[in-house]
Amino acid sequence: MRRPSGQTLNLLRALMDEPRKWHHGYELSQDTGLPSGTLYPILMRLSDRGYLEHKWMASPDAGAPPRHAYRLTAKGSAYSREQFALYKDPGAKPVSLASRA
Amino acid sequence: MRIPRHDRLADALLEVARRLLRPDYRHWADAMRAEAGYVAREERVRWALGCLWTAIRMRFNPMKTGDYRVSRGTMLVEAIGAFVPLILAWFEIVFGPSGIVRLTREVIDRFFLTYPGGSYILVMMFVNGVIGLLGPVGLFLGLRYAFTGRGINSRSLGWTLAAVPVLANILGMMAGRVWGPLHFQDGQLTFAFLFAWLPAAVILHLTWISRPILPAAPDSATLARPT
Repeated sequence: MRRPSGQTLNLLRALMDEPRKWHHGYELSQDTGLPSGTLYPILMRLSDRGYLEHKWMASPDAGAPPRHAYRLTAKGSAYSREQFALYKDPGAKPVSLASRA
Repeated sequence: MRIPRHDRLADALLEVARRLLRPDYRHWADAMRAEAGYVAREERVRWALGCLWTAIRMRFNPMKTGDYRVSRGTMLVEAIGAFVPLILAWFEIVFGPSGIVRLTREVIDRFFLTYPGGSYILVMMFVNGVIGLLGPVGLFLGLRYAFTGRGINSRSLGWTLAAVPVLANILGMMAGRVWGPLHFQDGQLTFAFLFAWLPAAVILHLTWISRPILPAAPDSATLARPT
């Protein structure tokens, strides 16, 4: 598996700001500055790995269509904290393939 | 009510994105389309283009089957194959019978400056004398990986080490067309492959292989499903 990119870390930070809140795609795009073409592939990957849960939520505005909303799972929160710690500590060494062998 | 043209364009792009995505990802297309309704009107087409780009990427992702992980022994062979020729060439350029360390004012005047394209050759000798340092550096990094398992952990360092010889080679070849001697192009592609592209590729490999491993994906039963 790959090291998370800076864009993924930014997104994880945005999701971790309010971990229990459901976030919308456009809001995340504005918070992180990620365009939709970058944001959604990351959301899909995080979801595929079980780090993100999503659901359809009715809009509070009458007549407005429902929106897809996202938040980190417990596993995703733990993963985020681990990655933040890893890349905050300059002495931390990423786990390389060879060092596992 | 008439739908503005850019909204129709955004809708069309989102529909293409939906069709491109695999059936098990269609709910993502619906999510992107629903979200487009909340995006500021002037950004909607750009949003839809991004969604189309997402669909294209997700469509092509499963086709990526290459796995560049290799054993330490393979990396040892790879590093020797890529960097030893460069070291030999670098050694020749710097310390060889007509190398940089033997250049004198008289030699430069007599064998370089008096011939067409000679100045270019002289400049390229110095450039390659510096760029060729990638040979010993790359071999050291390759051996370090082979013996300790430590590759190039800094992505920026890896990309820089790979980009410098390639850029220098491209610029050098372009300059050679203008200032180089006649028949300069002969053998340039072999030179480029052996002394720039191949070492750069191995540097990138050493950078890629040092990426950390994320925990394995959870069991599919634990994945959140859209409601």
